[in-house]
Amino acid sequence: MAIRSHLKKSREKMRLFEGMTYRNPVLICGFALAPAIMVTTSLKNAVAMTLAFFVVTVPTLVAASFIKNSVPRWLRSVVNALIASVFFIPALALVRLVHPLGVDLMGIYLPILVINSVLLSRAERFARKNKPVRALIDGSCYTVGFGVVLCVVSTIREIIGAGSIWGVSLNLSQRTPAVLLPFAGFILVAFLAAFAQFLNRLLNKRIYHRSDSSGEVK
Amino acid sequence: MKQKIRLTAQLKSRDTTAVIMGDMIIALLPLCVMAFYYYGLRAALLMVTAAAVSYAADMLGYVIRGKMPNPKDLSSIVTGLIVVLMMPASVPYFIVVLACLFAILVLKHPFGGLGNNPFNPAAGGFAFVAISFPQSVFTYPTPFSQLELVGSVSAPLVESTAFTLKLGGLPAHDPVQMLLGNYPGPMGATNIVVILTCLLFLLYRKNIDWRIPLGFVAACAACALLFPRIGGSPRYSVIYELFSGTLLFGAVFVVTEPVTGPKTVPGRWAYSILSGVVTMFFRYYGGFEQGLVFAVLIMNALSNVLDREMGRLVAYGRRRLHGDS
Repeated sequence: MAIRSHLKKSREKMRLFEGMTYRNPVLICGFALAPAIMVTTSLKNAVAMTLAFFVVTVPTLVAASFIKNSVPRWLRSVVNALIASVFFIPALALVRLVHPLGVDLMGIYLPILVINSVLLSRAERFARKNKPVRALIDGSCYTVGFGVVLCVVSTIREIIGAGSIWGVSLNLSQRTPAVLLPFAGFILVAFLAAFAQFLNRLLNKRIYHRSDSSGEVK
Repeated sequence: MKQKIRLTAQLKSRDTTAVIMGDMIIALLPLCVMAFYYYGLRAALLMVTAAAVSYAADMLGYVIRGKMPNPKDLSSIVTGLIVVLMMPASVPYFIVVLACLFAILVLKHPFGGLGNNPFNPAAGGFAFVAISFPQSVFTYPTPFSQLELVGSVSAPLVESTAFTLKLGGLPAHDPVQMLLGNYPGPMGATNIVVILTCLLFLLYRKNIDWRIPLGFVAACAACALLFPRIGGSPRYSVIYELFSGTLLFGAVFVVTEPVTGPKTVPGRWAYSILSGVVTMFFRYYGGFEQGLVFAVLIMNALSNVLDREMGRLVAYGRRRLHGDS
């Protein structure tokens, strides 16, 4: 198949898009679990959280790519967090525009985006050693991966728990409000993570023929 | 040295998991028969549904995990029966199915299957549907009322004695009738005499540790005696607190589960007494009228800690008593 041979040839190039495909930040890496679980009670929350994540993370990664190694190692994460908090101001304005009630509904988990794990990890590992354009693409892919997970989880929880999508009631006969509690979020994200690992293993076995790998993502 | 104490550590030579589970099913059968006697065919159908769904989910869980399904593994049937015996006879079928699926596919197999689960699956399944559908799970039909076989029930449903206690009132049932189970309550948890008989059977077969039900019931009775909810004689408070809800049923079948509880003797004493206290806390101050399942889930999380720390405490106490040796 053309797709399979293309994937095999461009395996190294695909690593740039890893956040979107095989290295999902929430499901495979376990980054930013707190926003993914606590906030995903409705689709509006998820979309607002993803937009805020984008506005906070991507510019900070680009800035970290410009700074490179000028900051000593013990200060790097602090400087990244400070830059992220500067970019939190437009993020908050954006959330107020899209989902005005969301600022209160999401509570502490919106400001916590400033120190989210994707930002600190990718700034240290990738953005510091790469050109700004690549850091931009990397950050965007991780945001897309994060956003997909959030939207899926919140859609499921909103349909089962509140019987609505985006606030529009679907008039379902059965509603389980307990799904909106945090424990259901944990369980749902855990099952999705298992599914994502299953897909990764399938990818390794079928397309890359790496059957000796134990599911570890390179 | 990291000790991994598994279920098999407590078995004697002839005991196998099949024998233990067979004994548990035999112990649960009188309760099923009494449920059928009081609530008719619908109760029987609910129990059959629970057992079948649990068994099928268990086999499915084995397949998903990539292991061979073991058709002789009856532990899931025990879990399903415990879950359904804690529910009213008027509960819709989908709630029973949901509880069993949650118990087996979320609380048992993802953690490693039989012998590896840290949380009691029956308690977790019941807790899940209790939070999700409290009005269906906590309202009970009176015994000998006509219940439809399928679909929703049209008989009048009343609150249980635990709910009456939570409101601060005195239950209107005669304690002797409560012993026999002739009052509205969970299907398997109302027949106190039968539950005590099953306890004696399980103790005789050495399937459960006598310390756990003793500590649990003693702790609950002490709390009911010292802090009665019924203004009046403490004796009636103890009787009604012990007889209402799923307390005695849980003391025999839920708290005593060997896999999820502690494995050492001091740990078991601490576990049972703390479970009793936490259950009474949930009863007094919690959102629902029954606290047993939530208390058991919390204490399951602490099982290993209790094993370790109670062992150290006992060793320290022994050293202090006998001088430093």
